[in-house]
Amino acid sequence: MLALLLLACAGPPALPGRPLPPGWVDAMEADPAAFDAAVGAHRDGWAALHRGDLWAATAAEGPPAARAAAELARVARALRPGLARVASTQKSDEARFFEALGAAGWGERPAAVALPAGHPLAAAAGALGSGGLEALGQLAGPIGACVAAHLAVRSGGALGDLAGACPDPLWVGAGGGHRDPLVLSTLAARPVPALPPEAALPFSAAWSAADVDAPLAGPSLRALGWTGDPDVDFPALDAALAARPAEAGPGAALVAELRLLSVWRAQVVAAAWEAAPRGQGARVLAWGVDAQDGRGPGPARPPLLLAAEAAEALAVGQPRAALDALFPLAEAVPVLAPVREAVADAAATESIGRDGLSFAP
Amino acid sequence: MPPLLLPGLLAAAIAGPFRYAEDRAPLVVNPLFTTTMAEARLDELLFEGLFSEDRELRVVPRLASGITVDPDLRGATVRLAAGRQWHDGRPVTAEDVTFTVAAAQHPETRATLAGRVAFIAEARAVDRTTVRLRFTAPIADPAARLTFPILPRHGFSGPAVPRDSAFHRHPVGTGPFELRRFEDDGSISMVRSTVDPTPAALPELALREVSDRAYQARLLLYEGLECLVRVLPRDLALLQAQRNVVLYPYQTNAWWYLGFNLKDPRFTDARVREAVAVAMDVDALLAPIGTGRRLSGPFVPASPWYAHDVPLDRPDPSRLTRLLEEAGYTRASGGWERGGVPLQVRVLTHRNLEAAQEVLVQLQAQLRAHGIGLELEFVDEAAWRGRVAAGSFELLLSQWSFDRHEDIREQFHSRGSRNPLGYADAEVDRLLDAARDATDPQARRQALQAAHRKIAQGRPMVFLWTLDSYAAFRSNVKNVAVHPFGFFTWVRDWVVQ
Repeated sequence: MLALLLLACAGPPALPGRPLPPGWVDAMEADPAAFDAAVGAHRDGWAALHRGDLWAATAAEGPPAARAAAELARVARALRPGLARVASTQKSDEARFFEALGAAGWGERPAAVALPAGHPLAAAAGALGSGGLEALGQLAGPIGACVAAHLAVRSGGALGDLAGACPDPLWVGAGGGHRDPLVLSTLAARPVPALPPEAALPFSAAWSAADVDAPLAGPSLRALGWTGDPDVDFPALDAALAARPAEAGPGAALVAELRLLSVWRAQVVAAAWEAAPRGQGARVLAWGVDAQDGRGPGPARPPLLLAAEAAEALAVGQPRAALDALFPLAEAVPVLAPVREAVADAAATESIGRDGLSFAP
Repeated sequence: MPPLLLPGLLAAAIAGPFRYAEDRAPLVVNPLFTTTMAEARLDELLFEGLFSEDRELRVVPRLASGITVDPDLRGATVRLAAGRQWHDGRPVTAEDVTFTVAAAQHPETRATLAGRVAFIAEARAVDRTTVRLRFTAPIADPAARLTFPILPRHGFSGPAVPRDSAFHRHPVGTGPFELRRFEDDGSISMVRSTVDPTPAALPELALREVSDRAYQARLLLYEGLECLVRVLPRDLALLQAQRNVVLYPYQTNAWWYLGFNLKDPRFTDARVREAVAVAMDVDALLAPIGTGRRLSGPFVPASPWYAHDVPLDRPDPSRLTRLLEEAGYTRASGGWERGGVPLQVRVLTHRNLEAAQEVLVQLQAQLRAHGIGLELEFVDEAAWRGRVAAGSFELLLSQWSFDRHEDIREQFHSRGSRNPLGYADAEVDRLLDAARDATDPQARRQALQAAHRKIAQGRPMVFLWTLDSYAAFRSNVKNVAVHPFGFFTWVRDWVVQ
């Protein structure tokens, strides 16, 4: 009984954990100058990347812009299946054309969409069928201009150019409005410059330079006995983080202020979510909750985690729940607004003919 | 933690029910009269509808086995699942369904459930397991509306159900849990239903009344609870740091407001309402109580209905001065007054509304700095219900929680049943009607976004914020999924390892 009493007073027992080998956070803790060296001349871009502002980081130059572009590509790939599920629920002629256009954006051979002669989208469907995106980008009109803008971005143009070229909705017809279906594939297709390991490391899932290529399979997490089971791995990781000596160096205040351990952990959660087998992603995300950043992007709530939350909600047919993540995500990355709006349309569809409930607290 | 409590908690931690906390245990266990989230959560545990939603939010049968909708969509025939029983062992029959509709619609019952059955013009038992429904208008997917809880005919003497019915203390349902007893400390003990064809994994469940919400987190931490429905913002960091606790963010669609009694002569003048709004620094009110989002209208910002082009109110002292002067007020040494009567208002709030005291004390200081007096009044449950229903207030600080459809009709339609402010606007009525009848999702979005703009312009209330919500579970509770609105909708799947 006494033992139980002590247990209750002390809280849960500490798990015995394996130690983490030295990593980039240790280097900054030991020497704050290492941080200055890492961020170099692109401090604003790194700061944007740290706070999850991928839009600002993308507009910056140098390594932070490249890192942001790479993360946006991961965001796009995370959202792709859910958005495809949303798009596939629409059955009109226009919807079939936009679904085919979306598929073409991902490099897939689109299904032929034959629209009746005189249909306002017939020429666009014909161009897409015969010459793909390139032919469609030559066409006059808003769809042609939008596709041309996407092609320019895919060739290295500024991402912000899409906002002016692609109105939202891109098309309004008898079957309702249709959003730009190329956004995600364009984000995924943008060229991302290769980076040296030291530029790939800060605020990433890699704990050391040796982990950059495969953070989950690298030596650092292997040292913890990483298994791929989140309910085993994250307690072990947390035990290792808890066992790190406090105030270990002159950079300790910097590490605390920038919440670097939380930043790294969040990136590991995101990477683990990407690697999780189908249907297991929600189990990983349960370990990624960091209430300190609220619901918006932040150091420990990177855009990729928001995309993962939205993807999980869409995977189980909950577009309204996905909007909780997509709303702050599209605020931070405005080019994702068409994705948010397409999902909002799906949530609205779900509410047609339904009664709502309300309660006082 | 009170030391004397520890042995009890430890005993409970070793073996016992799955425990969750409410700061107020429901006084009434009867879905006919549910008004609070705590009551709604208990309803989910004890009762079921003809249909429910699975984890993909698809409508699936519960007490029903199927439905055949008439070709003209004006009626349907519902077949009940074979062998379903009430917790007392009596069979579920078509008479139970027709009774529930009749009781909810009976004018003497004055049921809060009435709105959910208003689409049913007639419910008739064809035989013991078949119900014939006729609707007030064509409905394409009536199963989605047949999710309201079904009550046992044999639990009541007739469809005019009084508020003091004996059923309240001896409820009989068909839900995953059966009420065992009300405990002396206000808690409610439940056991797994023995007649549920898909029984819950948890054998026992207990609602613990813990009025001090700060103490609820401690109880979770020290194994006195398995789950907190909502974590106080100030406890988030504490719980997040614990490896034996897992946080689950969830969607609440709940928002706070400061409502004006529109029958109060001062507040019939829109300039006075706006003056109060621009005297407030809402960001400063929100910051101490948690993270969340400001609102410009009656939807949360992530809603498909939210009109993002409506600006948020910002503090604007010069506009305040102009508005009040136009409304006939003059600034005297003690503050604004008209005809020698100071602009002094009184705000009513429920004493259990989380962080309300913190908010109102600060609001009082903000308004006073701009020459507007504010008196605070915190009342208990009974007084709150009575005063709000009677319109006996000047200002209200409260919140509304909505399901994922975010249907604001009851609050903002002139014929809405939950419109204590007395808001009425013909254009908003038209937009809400159009949204209800829309079959095109974008038409529905446009109507509700337009309603947002119009309501924001009319300013029956100052829309404040939606708070980030997290539930917390002990980490040995597995297979947890929290329904976007119904906390216990999928409780059958929860297990404790």
